[in-house]
Order: sequence, then structure tokens, then C-alpha cells
Amino acid sequence: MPGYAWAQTAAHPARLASVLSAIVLGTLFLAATAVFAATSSAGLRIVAAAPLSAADVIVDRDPEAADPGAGWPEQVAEHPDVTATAPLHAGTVQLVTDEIRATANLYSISDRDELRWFELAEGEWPANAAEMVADAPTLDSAGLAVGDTVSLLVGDGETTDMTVVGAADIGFRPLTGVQYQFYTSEGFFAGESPLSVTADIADGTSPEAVVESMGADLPDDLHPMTAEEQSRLAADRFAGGAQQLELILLVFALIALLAAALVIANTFTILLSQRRRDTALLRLVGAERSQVRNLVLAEALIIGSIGSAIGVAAGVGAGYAGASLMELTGGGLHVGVPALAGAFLTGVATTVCAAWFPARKAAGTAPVEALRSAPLQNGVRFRSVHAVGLAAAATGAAVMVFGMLAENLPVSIAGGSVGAVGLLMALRYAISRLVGGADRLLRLRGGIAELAGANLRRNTGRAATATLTLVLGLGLIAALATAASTGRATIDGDLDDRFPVDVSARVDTGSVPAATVDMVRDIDDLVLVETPRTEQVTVEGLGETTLVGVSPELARAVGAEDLAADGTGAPAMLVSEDQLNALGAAQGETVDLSVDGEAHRFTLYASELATSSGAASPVVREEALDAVAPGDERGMVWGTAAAGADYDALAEQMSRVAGADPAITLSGALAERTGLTDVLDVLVNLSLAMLLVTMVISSLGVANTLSLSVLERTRELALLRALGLTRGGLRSTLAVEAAVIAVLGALLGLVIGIPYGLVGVNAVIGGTAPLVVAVPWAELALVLVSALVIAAAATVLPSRRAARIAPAEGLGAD
Amino acid sequence: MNKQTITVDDTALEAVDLVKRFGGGETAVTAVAGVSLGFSRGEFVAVMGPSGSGKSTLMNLLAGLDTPTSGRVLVEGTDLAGLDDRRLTRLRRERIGFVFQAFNLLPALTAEQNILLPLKLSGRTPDRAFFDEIVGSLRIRDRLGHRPSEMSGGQQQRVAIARALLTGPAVVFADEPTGALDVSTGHELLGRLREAGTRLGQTIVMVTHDPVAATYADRVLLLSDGALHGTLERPTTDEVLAAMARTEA
Repeated sequence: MPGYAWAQTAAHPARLASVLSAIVLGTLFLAATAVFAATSSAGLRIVAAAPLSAADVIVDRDPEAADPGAGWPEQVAEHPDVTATAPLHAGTVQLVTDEIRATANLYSISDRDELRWFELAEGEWPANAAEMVADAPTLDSAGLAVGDTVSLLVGDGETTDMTVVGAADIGFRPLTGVQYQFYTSEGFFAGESPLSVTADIADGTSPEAVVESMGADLPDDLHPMTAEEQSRLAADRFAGGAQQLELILLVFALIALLAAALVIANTFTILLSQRRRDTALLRLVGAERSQVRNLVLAEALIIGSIGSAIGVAAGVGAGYAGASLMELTGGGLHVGVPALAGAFLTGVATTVCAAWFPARKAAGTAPVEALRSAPLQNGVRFRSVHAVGLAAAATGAAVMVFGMLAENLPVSIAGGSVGAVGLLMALRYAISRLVGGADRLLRLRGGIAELAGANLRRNTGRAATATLTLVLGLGLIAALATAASTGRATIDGDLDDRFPVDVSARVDTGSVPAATVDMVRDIDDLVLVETPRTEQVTVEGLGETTLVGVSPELARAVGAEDLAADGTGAPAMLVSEDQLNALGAAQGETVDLSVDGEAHRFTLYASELATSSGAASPVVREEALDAVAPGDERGMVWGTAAAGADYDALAEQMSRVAGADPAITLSGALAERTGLTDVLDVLVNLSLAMLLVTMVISSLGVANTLSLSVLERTRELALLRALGLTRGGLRSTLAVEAAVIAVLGALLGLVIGIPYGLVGVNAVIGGTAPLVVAVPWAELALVLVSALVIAAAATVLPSRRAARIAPAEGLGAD
Repeated sequence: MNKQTITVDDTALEAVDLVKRFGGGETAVTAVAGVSLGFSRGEFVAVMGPSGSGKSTLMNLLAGLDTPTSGRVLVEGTDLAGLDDRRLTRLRRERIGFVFQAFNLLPALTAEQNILLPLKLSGRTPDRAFFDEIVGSLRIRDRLGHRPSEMSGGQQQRVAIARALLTGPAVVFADEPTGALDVSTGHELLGRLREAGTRLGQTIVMVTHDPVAATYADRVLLLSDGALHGTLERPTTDEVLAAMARTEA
């Protein structure tokens, strides 16, 4: 009977539009993930393999073993089949321009053309240790051009002026963000032992054979390998990093599919209840239950196949677009046929499975219903599955709370998981009861609201399923938003504890120049900027160290009460935890310390303030320092930020300060914070973007529920119009219905999502720092508002249709 | 498919002491109160009675759409009480045809698809000659590609009749087949039904409260309060009206 199924599908294509869109979106997501994964992994492989592309053989030295000396590449060059070698050096340097100061990677590029793995877009190859080339993105973001000269701060603090003599054409550089990369001549690294050496071999010899004979000749600490094999290994390591991203995408694709399944199930339920008479007629003329069921499933199969095919096709485009947006398409479009087939089949299976329960219900239609109109019952009956679900949700929640209180992570995760399964099982029933409750509220308002309530009431099951899709999307968004803000607050709280000073800059000798101090003072969000007194002293037990003397105001501002209090006894000295141990003193113990050979009494306290400038430097009050070691050196600048300061802006301004004065070293909370929260922000923003798909699907679900209920209630709505309800009134009724669904969905989403967000973030970072709970009320209010917007959008088409119903339609024959 | 099959018993449909009670206790309503009937092969019988006389319930019981409180229904000697849902469904699609007042056709299917539906459901291939004969005699050949919404009420009913006849059932039930039609269309339809029945030797049971419609039947059964109150053989309209008046009095 595929013909009949096709006829049903073709007769009212518009009614199946939401099923189609839902499944298209779901499979699109899935297929896009697959294509993105394949394409980006191929692209990443090319990137990883690029530096080896010019070589035949590569020899690595064992970084764990003793350094064989800077001359070890000679051993490789001595091999009879080797025609050329190039050492591969890599180092981290500080790039200082007039504008910025940033970390950059400096690599060696072979002086011999045959071993160079990229071409030049302009300029020349670096000919000596004072020349280098950079790729276009580096030049762009550092604001450099060929011919410019910049300063590089190499590890031991020495500054080298380098001239950019060329622009490298490396192709594309994925996932590196703003990462500065420079390539200089081998001479720059003269005297250093490279980690690897690349080699070209004579024509006609096989790399494998050369590797084998080299293996025999070279010492055990040097590992020869063909470039081909090494590229494969490098590619595997590199591509591995992308798998996490793919996993996240996959999870969200499955969530979108779950939402799609709910929308499909709901649509089929509604369609079949509208077609109840047709179904009964089918049964009357002799269709068996299984035939009726199979017809519905065949319809699902047709629509699922069409939707999945469209979704997969669009997904290929979307996946490639996504990969090229992240500049990962260097390997060209890669389409895994099994993965796409998998996405297609998953889409079809989701549709058919979602239609299964409505189909089974339709199969139970009594033939005699074809002869008379039977009332439809639509509530959600309380069944054992709901009881089990409610019990599981309650138990899960209790276990989760217990786990949080007892700080037992596995227990709270287990509780959360059980609770989530329970919620999925029981939520539809719970929502249908809430919809009933909403009716009671609406009845108090009277008029339009009462009418809307009555409409919701007569089919609480349908409203419940539409709400459930919203809860799914909004709950996850609420969870993510809560997790993100709590995570950020926890990281900030932790950093505040570890770094009492937000901004710290120091010079190695002498005082910080006045111009630099003024620049720091000019930064808007810093409330207190001070240049503490510093003095190089020798403390017995600690060796040579910098003693820092601060004002009482600063001590108070950074919460160092021991230091701020005007002690009558021995002055306080803040040391690091390690130093306290090294001195063999206890917290708050008063000891005699020999400073520069003179004995002084200090009361010792361990404090994070002692490590504010990076290295451990004991901190005392200014007058105490003057008493011990008078002088006027001020080698540090410390600043504390105002509460709620914009740390990103702060970081940017500090980097400008650092760029202006290459001699200073930055530390403090600011330097640490950006790295951590950047990762968090990227993950959260990506996840939220992915959840948009789920939200689109759930709004389809709401729109569908409303528009099909308008179709179903044509006579009733016409009657209401005949009795004097205006078009506007009709629209308002629908709007109220949608608003109830949206508000219910949003509130439930918040109630469920917030605790889950807290548990989730606790699971990730809870062990490392005390959790600082921060519920992002503003963002959550936005969730509520967006739910209402979705509801409003969902009423547009159904309202238009309802408004077209003529009052006379209510008077015609059934 | 062959209409001339000779059965040992010439009774197509039989009801024995049929009782149908709805509800229980004080509020129990007896819709059919002990009816025994027999319909011979090829007979066109009209069941008449006022609203609430139980004629619809009786038809549902005879067609196996409802189960009797007591008594038996035999279709060509097969007791319906002994059949499970699957076998009852099969019997319905192979041995029973239906035509009723409205909602006769599936709106998504063309006339031809609607007619062939029961055969398709049982996986049989239609006998084209027989199909042509029926379609020809009901004058719907030029309507076969149309959907129900593109046909008049009378055309839709003729398509429904064709569907009921094509399987060569033991009995065709017609529930107020002219109820939704205007008078002249109704009469034309009954003429076609009668003609087709005679030509094919088809047993037809028609439930109606239209005295004119009843005159197309070989036999008219008068039902009142769930019991049989008389039988008229090939009656005129006046005879039917008089009998109805007596029944209702």
C-alpha cells in the first residue's frame, strides 16, 4: 500500500511541513557534523604535515636523553645517501613592537631551498640571524609590513632587533587564532641543539632503506623516520585535538534530533486524530490493525526519507561552510559516505520511530467510528512509566543535592543522570497537569484568556508535547548559561584568592620608569595603583630575594589584614607558603631573621601577595622596609581593579603598556585569567549556537500544534466568530495559548536547567576551586523573553488562517 | 470472484436471537431485543424503522462492527462470535461491503483507488472485466481519476457502491445511502443499486427511513423498539407508509 501512504502524504503536504522541517534540521546538523569532521581532519593533517613536506627523512633526538650537542645534525649529514640536511629549531620569544607585546613562536627555516617547505609571497628569504619572515596573518595582526624592524625578547631577557625581510605563503593556518609565527635563518639558533633534523636523500634511494641503515649507524638517542610516516604521526596528534569539538557537535546534533522526534510524534498524533474517520473507514473496508499502522509508518518513511535526503544534502554544504569559516578546508571537501548514509538512516529511523506510538494508537481505531463522530480524548493518562519517571526524578534530585553537599562528584553526576532520565519519562505527564492548572488561572481572568485556557485544556497532551520540546531547548540553554557564569565567577574567585593584585609589572633592576607608571595609572578600571618600595636583600634561609614594602592602603585593598593592622609588636612579613616552610616557621610566628647580615624580628604570615610579581618576594610595610634596608628603588607597579571591572579591556590596556616598555614583566590575575575564560567562552558560545537549531525545531513544534488545532477547530472557531468574537479576539486567544506554552516551557527549563548547570560546572572545575555560584539572572530573563518571542512568532501563520475562517462555516453540515 | 458460485446453503446472512444491551443496571438500554433474521442470496432487503428503533445497532451487529450481548450472527455459515479481530477484519473486507450516508470515501485517494482499496488491502489483483462491468453499470467511468472533493454527492455514492460490489461480498450493507442526496439523485442511485444487485445476484441490506427508498427492495423489515414488527414483500410507497404508521402508533 505505498500508493495510499503516498496519496496521504501528497494530499496535505503543508500539514507535514513541520515534520519535514524538523527532520531536515536534525539530519542537516548530523550530516554537517560528519562533513565538518572529515573535512577539518583532512585540512588539519595537511597543516601538520606541511613542515615535513620538503624532506624525505627526519631524525628526532630523544628529548629525555642527554643532549647530543649542537653538532649532532652532522651525524645525519654524514650518511652517504643524504644530499642535504636542515635542523628544525623552534623557540618561544616575546615580540615587542610599538603597539603590542605578545608571545610569538620563532622557527628556523632551512637555508637551502630544497628543504624549504613554503614559498615566499613577497620579499626575500632570511639570510642571517637578524632577518626573519612571517606569514600573512602574523603580519596582519601584529600590524607589520615587510621591511619593518621589531624587537624580540629571547628567554634570558636579552633583546634582539630583527628585520622582517619577507612574507611567507603558508596557505592557511587553522585554529591558531592570534598566534604570531616567524621563521628565521638557521644561523639565529647557532650553537643550539635542534630537536629534529630533516634530510633529503639522493635520487633513486628509498627513504625506508636510508632510515634502516641510519638506524644502524646513529646512536640510540637519535630516531630516524621517513617523512611520510612522521607526517602521519604528526597529523594524528594534531587531528586528535579536533575530536573534542566533533564530539560536542555530535551531542548537540543528537539533542536537536530528539527535539525533532518530539515534534514529529506530536504532528503525527494531531494528524491522525484529524484523520480518525478516514482511519476508521480503512478499518471498515478491511484494513487490519497492522496495515493501518504500517500505512502511517510508510508515510513517516516517505517524509523521513525526503527530509533526511534534503538534510544530508544541505548538511554537506553547511559542514563545509563551517569548516571553511574556521579555515580548516585546506584538504578540500571530504565527505564520508558511510557517515552521510548513517546520518540519512538516523533521520529516517528517527521519523519512523517517532511515528510509531501515534501509529499504534491509530491502529486501535474501531471501524464503527467511521459511522459516527466519536469524541476524542486527549489528556495524558497517568501510567506506570510516569510513576517510575517521577520516582526517578525525585530520587535523582535528592542524590544530586546530597552529592553536591557531600562534595562527592560521582554521586552527584549519577544522581543528575538518573534525574534526567526520570524527567524525560515523567515530564509530559507533569506538563499536562500544569497546562490544566494554567487553565484554572486563565479562567479567573475571564474573556479571551478563559477561552484560550479552555482550548489548552481540551488537549493537554498535545500542549504538553509542544511544551516539552521547549523545555528541552530552554533547559539546556539555562543550564549552559548558569554553568558559564558560575564557571567564570569560580575562576575569578579562585584567581582573586591566588592573585590579590590584579595587575603587576616589574623590572629586574632599578625602578619602573615614570612614564610606564603613568600609563598604568591612566588605566580606567584600576582603583589603586602603587609603586611599592623594592630592595634586593639576602635573607638567611631564603637567599637573595626582593623585599617589597607596601603602604597600609594597598595592604588593606588587597585584603592583607595582617599587614594592614598597625602591629605594636614585630612588623608583619608576608612570605609564600614555600618560604614559610623553608624558614621552618608557623603561621603568625614571630622569628628573628637575618637580613643582609643584621637580625630583625618579624611576624611571618603565608600570603599569596608574596607571589604577586611572579617570583616569591616577601612583602612588608614600607616603613618596615625602610628600617631594614633604606633606599628609593621602586621596581614594581601594582594595581587593583574596581569590582566588576571589564577584565578584557584591562588586559588589552596592560598589553599596550607592556608594548611600550619592553623591559617590564607582567604577572597578576589578569595574565592568568584570559587564557582560562577564553576557552570557557568559546565552548559556551559554540554550544549556545548549536542549541539554536533545537530552539528552531521547538518553535516549529509550537507553531505546528497551534496551526493544526486551528484546522481541527474550524467549525468551533467559526461558531465563536458567528457569536461575535472579533478577528483580533481570535488572534489573542491563540496568542494566549502560545504564551502559556512558552512561559511553562521557559519556567520549567529554568527550574530544571539551573541546577543541572551548577552540577555540570561543579563536575568540571569543582575539584580545583571552591564553587562560586553565580546565576545569570539577566541572561535567564532573556531566555524567558525569547521563549515569548518564539511563541509570538509561532502564532503568526495559525492566526492568519484562523482569521480567514468565515462565521458561516460554523453553520454548515459536518 | 465468480458470482455464480453455488453454496449448499442459499442463506447469505443469518441472525439468531440477537440481543444488544447498552449500559448496565438501572440505566441499561436494550437496543436490539431478540431479533432472528435470514437473508437469502441475491435478495435486496430494506430495514425500516423510526429513529431509535435500533436499526443502526442491528446493522452494526450484522456487519460485525459491534458484538451482541447474546445471540449469533452467521455470514455464509461463519459465526462471527468465534473470530478474533484479524479474522473478523479479513471477513469484513472479503465478504462484506459497506455504503453509507457520508464519509464514504478516503479524500486523499482517487475514485479508482477508493474502489480498489479493499482488494489492495487483501493483496488481491482486481478482475479488470468485473471492474469494468461495475464501473460501466454505475456510469462512473469518466470519474475514475477524480478525488472525492471533485465529484458530486451522487457520484461519490456510486463510487462507494462500486467499491462495495467489487469484492463480490456475501452481503452489502447500505446505511441511509440516499440520506445526503437530493430526491431525484437518490432515486437514480437506488435504481443503479437495485440493477447492479439483480445483475450480480448480490445480497443487499439497506437501512433507511425513507418510504420511497424502501420500495426499491424485494422485502421490507419493519423494526420498532429493537424488535421485528412485520415484513412487507415488494411494497408500494403507500403500503410502506401505512405499515410505518401502524408501527409508530
